[in-house]
Order: sequence, then C-alpha cells, then structure tokens
Amino acid sequence: MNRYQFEDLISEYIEDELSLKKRKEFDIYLKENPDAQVRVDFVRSTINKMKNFPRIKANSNFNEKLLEQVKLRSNQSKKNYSFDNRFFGFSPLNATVMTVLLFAFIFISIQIFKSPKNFAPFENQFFVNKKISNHKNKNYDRLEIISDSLNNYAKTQNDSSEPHKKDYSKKMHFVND
Amino acid sequence: MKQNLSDLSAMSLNNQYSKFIYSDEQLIGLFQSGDDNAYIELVNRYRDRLTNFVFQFLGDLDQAEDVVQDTMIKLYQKKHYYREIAKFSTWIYTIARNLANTELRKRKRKKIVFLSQMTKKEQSYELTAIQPNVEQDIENEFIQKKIQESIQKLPEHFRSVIILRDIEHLAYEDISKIIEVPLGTVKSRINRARLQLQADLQDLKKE
Repeated sequence: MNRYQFEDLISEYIEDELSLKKRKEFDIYLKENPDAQVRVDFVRSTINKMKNFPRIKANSNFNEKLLEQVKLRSNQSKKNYSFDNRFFGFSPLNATVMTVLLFAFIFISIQIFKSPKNFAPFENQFFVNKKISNHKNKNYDRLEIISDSLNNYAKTQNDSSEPHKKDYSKKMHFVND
Repeated sequence: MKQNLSDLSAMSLNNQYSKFIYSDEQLIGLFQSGDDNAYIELVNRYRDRLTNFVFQFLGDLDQAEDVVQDTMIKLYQKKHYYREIAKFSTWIYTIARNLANTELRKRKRKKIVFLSQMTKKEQSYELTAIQPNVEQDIENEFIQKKIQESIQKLPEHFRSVIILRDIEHLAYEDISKIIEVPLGTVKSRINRARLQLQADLQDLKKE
C-alpha cells in the first residue's frame, strides 16, 4: 500500500467499512508508518469533535415569524391572482390601449388604400389590358392601342402635375427694372 | 384548506400531532390534503436541524435563520411538488442546501466574507452541552471554533458533504440524494474533505 492508497482509505478505515483483506493491509501500513497512525488518530478525533458540536437551535420566536411570513406571502399571491385577469397576456389597461391602436391602424390603412390617386398607374394598366382584349377581335393594331393608352396616361399625368406648377413670372422682378 | 392560517399561530406551540407518532411522509401527505397542523409539526421537527445545518454551512446565525424561514415558506408554497418516492428529510435538506448555496453565491458577489460570529451571538441561542469544567469548556469552544473556521474555508462541494455526514449524521445514501451525486462520489468527497480539514488544522495537532 502506498501513501495515496492509504489516504483514499482513511475514512473507510475509521468507519469500519473496509474488507478484512484491505483492513489488514491498512493495519500493516500503519505499523510501518507511525506518522500515518498519527494522521488517522487526528482525523478520527476531529470527526468525534464535530459529532459533539453543540446543536444550534432556532430562535424561540421562529414559528411566529414564519407564520407572519406565510400569511404575508399568501396575501401577496392572492393579490397577484386578482391582477392575473388578463386578456391574451395583457393587463386590462394594456389590452384596451392595444385594441384602440389596432382599430386606429385598420382605419388608417383603409383610408390610405381608399385614395384613387394611389391606384392611378394600376388603373391605366388595367384599361390598357381591357382595350387590348376588346379590340383583339376587331383586328386593331395592338401597338397602336398601347401607344394611345400611354399617351392618355402621359396626358393625365401632365394634367395632374399642372396644378402643382406655380407661376412665378409675376413675382419675378429684376433689380434694374 | 381545512385550517385557517390565523388559528395556526395559536396552535404552533401546542400542536396536536406532536403527541402522536406520525412519520414525516405521513405528515406531508396530510399537509398536501389541506391540514395545516401537519405543516406546523413538520416545522417543529425540522427547524432546529435545518438551522444547525445552514449555520454550519454559512457561519452566520441570522442568515441561517432567514434561509430556514425561506425553506419553510417554500415547503408551504410548494407542498405539492413533494412525491413520496423520496424521503421527506432529503427533500427538505435539498431545499435548504440550495437556498444556502444561493445565499453563499450572493455573498460572494458582494465580496463579503463572514466567518463564524458565534462568540457574540451564541448568548441568545440555546446550547445543549453544559460542561462543569470551565477550562475544558473554553478549550472545547476554541477547538470547535477552529474546526468551524476550517469548514468555512472548504470548497462548497466538500463543505456540504462533511456537514451532512459528520455534524448532521446523515447516511451516505441520503447525502447522495440531497446533493444529487453518486454514492461513490459522496464517499470520496467526504474523505477528501476530512483530509483537507486535517491539513488545515495542523496547528491544533501540535498544540
């Protein structure tokens, strides 16, 4: 038995958990090494001292304090429960705010998509397609129709952009005039 | 709940179950079915044991008592988490140990080192051993304090096993369940913890 094996087996030796064969080996090692015997005795006495430590007791008002705490916590949990009436994870106030915001978003979206100007390019394209389909049977020249439509579209664009043009001619004055 | 909490404080000292022999597992069963008297009996059975265990673990009586209070509150709130596959004692010790560990981690974060403050505060706590020989008493107290300081210096995984084994006198199997490591590891940790204590207490050996 070497020193490391000896150290590994100290607790089992003290608690009498070694097999007979191992115990004999351990005893032989102790006889050969008086220092090892001192170590074992010291560990054994430390264990005994720890076993005889005076027991610490809880304070005499432990139960009263505990029951106060239990009551307090159970009241808190009741309050939390009443606050737990939630709608899809939102508190009543947050749910109301979120609903108002949702309706506002829907209303604004409808207003935006209602505006005809936004659909003007699509509408023109729609009319082009419609014209093509209508005149196909009448053997119209397809390119002619498209160019007509594009011209119309350009015209409408010019018309619509005209009001935005401001006439600065009257407002312009040269310094020397 | 059969028993109103307000009635319990009056019953805390004279609990009906203390007169009868109920196992811990039977008591927790009664408590789970709504009998708060069983809770009081469990508290009475474990408050001192847990206070002693947590005190040895933390080295501070006030904190130890706070941790035991929290343990008992957890027992009250989480009673339905207990299943009878394990012993009640191992379950409650596990809760106490985890809370003590959390306390220890908080303390490390704050970088405050509490060593045993027993000398000042032990007057307010009852100590069972009363020795007639004063000198012997003082020497024992000195040795005890040295050992407690050495226990405080041990790493957490050594500290908990040595307290559970050598101070709380629990079986290896129970310790294995409380700290959730295999039996062999528990034995090896206890052995190494004892060797480390022995190395730390060299001065005591010379004296």
